[in-house]
Amino acid sequence: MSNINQTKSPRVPEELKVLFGEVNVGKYCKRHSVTPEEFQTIRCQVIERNKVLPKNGLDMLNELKARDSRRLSIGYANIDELLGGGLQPGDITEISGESTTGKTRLCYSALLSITCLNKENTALFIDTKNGSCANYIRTLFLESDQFADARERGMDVDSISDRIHIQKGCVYEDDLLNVIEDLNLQFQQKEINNFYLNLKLIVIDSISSVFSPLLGYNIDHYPYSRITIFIRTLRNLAKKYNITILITNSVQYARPYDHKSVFSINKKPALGQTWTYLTDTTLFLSLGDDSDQRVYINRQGCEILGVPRICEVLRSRKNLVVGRYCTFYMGYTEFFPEFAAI
Amino acid sequence: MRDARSILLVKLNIKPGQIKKLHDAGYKFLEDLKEASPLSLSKDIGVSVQEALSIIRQIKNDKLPSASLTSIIKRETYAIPTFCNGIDKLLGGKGVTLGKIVEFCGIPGIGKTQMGIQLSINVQIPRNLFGPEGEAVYIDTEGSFIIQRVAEIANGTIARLNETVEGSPFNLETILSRIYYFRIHDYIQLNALIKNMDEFLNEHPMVKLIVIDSIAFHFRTELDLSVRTRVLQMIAQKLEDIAESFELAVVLMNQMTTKFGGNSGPDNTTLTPALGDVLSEACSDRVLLFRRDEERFAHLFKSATKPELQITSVQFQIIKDGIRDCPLPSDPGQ
Repeated sequence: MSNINQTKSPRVPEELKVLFGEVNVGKYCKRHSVTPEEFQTIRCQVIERNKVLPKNGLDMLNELKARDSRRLSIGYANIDELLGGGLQPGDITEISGESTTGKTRLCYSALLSITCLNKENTALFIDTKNGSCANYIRTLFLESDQFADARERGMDVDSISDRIHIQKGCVYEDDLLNVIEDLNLQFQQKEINNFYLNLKLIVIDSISSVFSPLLGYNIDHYPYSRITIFIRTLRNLAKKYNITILITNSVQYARPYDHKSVFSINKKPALGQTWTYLTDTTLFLSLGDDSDQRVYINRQGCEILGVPRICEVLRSRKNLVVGRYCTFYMGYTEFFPEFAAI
Repeated sequence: MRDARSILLVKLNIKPGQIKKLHDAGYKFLEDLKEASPLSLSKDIGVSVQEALSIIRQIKNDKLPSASLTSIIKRETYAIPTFCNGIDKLLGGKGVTLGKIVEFCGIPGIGKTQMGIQLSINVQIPRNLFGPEGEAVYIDTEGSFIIQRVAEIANGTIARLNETVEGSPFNLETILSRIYYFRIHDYIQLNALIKNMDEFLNEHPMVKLIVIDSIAFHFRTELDLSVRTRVLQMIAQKLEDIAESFELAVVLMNQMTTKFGGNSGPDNTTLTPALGDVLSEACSDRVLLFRRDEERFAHLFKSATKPELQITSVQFQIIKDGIRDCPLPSDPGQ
């Protein structure tokens, strides 16, 4: 074993030779001063090290259950239910919808509820539109009922503010890819910064403003390959370090599905067909009837006027029920269901 | 431990053909390119020096630092007041915040251009009066920028500032000389101007506001819908870039259009801002200016800062001196 460690670079090709027997045993033994017997042990060890072990079904099921228990809340119980209990670490969840449907708002909620879980968790918000508002995130924590329990547990707003980082200036795809690559490098440092060590959530708001200008009228596959490379890099990072990824996406208009009316419009997430293969779960937010506004009184006694929103599971690679939806009302600092309104 | 070497060239935004050439010449990782000069690279892979330079520029990108919420909140931000307290409040308290993209939309004659002119004067308010003390770029696509009116509003502004502080250094000449006016005749010119805005802004670092009046005008005719969407997205992306990197506010004026369908029923019509959802995604705040019973109102319907949503409509008026609060605020209702 020690002999392998001593052989310096290029280690991998050497290992491969040992493994597949392409090496001249006599020469190898002379060069590394080992006996042929020792060489055999080294070969066995190399094979042992590169072996992939099978899993049995029961183990896999248990593993899955263990993973389920690690699900993270997005901050609103009804949407957690749609997601099968919450956001899955290591997965990419997409939230798409028109503007003002509450995509960014839902991301803020996830940021806060994950950092509220304990005193270590950190989160990164990648803002590609320069539209984020730090003060609003702070207000949300201080005033919303969603985080009332966390406040009672003694969670401190300054500690939360320190643990949420906002990455601005990622307007172009090169910048975005650089940020992800930089994260990758940070994780490989010998002494990992605490922020990266406890990173639980990465939010990208929004992916479409970065990539859709690349997508042309003439079908050109190049931009799609850029998206794929980006998501693959992101997914590797997420799986390796168990980070939850949340991405917002805008909508594009498809052909009318209701042929009775020429004007009915079918909306779907932007970025085309390729994109649909790249995320694990897609939630679709849409506007409700704007005249149906409800009032909710939160625990601090503030009256919150809410407008209706609908959240639907549009696609899922996991065992979520596609087409399941929930209706909720969204106000200044609160999400609330219909029965909670007065 | 792996280092920058582990980043494959494939991940760069280079045309696949060039990546192959780089590979053949022995460049496989980012690190390999870091020491190359444009001249040697162009020789190695057989492209023009210009192209080689653009490849090298890509990998020499500076690292973008992320900042914690705490440090962002502490950072001082300036805002351009509109001189109407109600609208200032809608936009987050102090007016149009630098670094953001804000859209005003409304029917013709509601006062979009007046708002644009007022903002390009107010951006010059000095720091000691809590203004950003900057300059303005006014991009006019409709030809509605009337210089007499600008002078009128400028005089009104000077008069108002003189009320608060004695002998402000403001005068008509300096105000007018700090507004850079571009007249744009088609969407290609608009696109070209915005693409090259970097250069202008580097020469004029004091510019803190870009007004585009109106963004919709050249996009409402003749353009194929998908081309339009793409051009708009490109413009929006560039605007986001300059708003962030030069720390300036971008104000877009938008026209209204009739939308069929929507939430009120499949065959009903509603009046909505033009150009669809593309622009809406890029703007952090959107304000609709509308008229009711001969009074003017501003209604906030998208916001990043989210003031109390209960008060999303405020009244304002346009007088000879520019945009002002209404003397007797009345309840707009909903």
